[in-house]
Amino acid sequence: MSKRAPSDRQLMAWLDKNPARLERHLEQFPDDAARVERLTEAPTLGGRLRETLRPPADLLDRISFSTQPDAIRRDTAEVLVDLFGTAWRTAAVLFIDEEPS
Amino acid sequence: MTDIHPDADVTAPNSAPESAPESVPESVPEAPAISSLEQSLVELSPTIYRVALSILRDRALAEDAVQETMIRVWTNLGKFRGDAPFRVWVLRIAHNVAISMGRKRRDQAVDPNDLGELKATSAAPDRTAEGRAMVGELWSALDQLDPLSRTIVVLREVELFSYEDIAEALDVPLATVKTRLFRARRSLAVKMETWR
Repeated sequence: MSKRAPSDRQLMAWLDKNPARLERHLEQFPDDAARVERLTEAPTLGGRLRETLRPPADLLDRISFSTQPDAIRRDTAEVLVDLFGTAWRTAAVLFIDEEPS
Repeated sequence: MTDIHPDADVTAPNSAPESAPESVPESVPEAPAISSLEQSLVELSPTIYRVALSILRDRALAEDAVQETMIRVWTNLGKFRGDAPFRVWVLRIAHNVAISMGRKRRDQAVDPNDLGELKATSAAPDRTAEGRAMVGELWSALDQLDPLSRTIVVLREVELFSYEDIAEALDVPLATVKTRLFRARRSLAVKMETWR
């Protein structure tokens, strides 16, 4: 025995007044979701929401440092190594780099 | 409003199996993969921002949420098992970060007027007066929805996520996702009718 499918009007009434009932119905009859989907279609909504929630143009600049901590640390380490290396090479030239007699 | 993930581990993969199949990577992917994940993360930043903004309704806080999400994703890459799409995993973290920030703000708010204050238009001076009015009206319509419904409508209508991915990212049943979306659409459509 098959249960009679609810009408569009019934589905929309559940949606407006008894969403928990609609949710239970969709759990049992997932195919009916396509009907409610069609009945509630709002073609321009996505575009309007996109405009409303538009991120700032420089969002990536504002947050980019947080995605690159390793690169920053690596760059800093390289500078320190270079500085230390320069001092070491200078010292080596002045004090160490002599041929033993 | 339905509160979800009150104290959840925001980096936990959704419905991860107890023992991962052998083909699923257990640790951080190798260098080339990390670089590609970083690129994906950068590309996801506007989506993270929109989700955070839909929950927090404050542009400055939404930026903080993007940053916090990036840090959490980056420091927890080793927990990403690949059993859900990367963007779903990231959005789940973003959603939890924003919910947590919203809760913290609510707990710290002294002036009730600080709650839910919308600073949406201040950072968009390039909009026309008509555009700003539309944005303001849509915001007040969004305000009528609970945060979960706002997030669902953004993920579906703007980001074009599948229902299954939304359910996975937000850890809610599929039927709940659909019902919330349909109600949100109906409510927003009524508001949009008045603009015509």
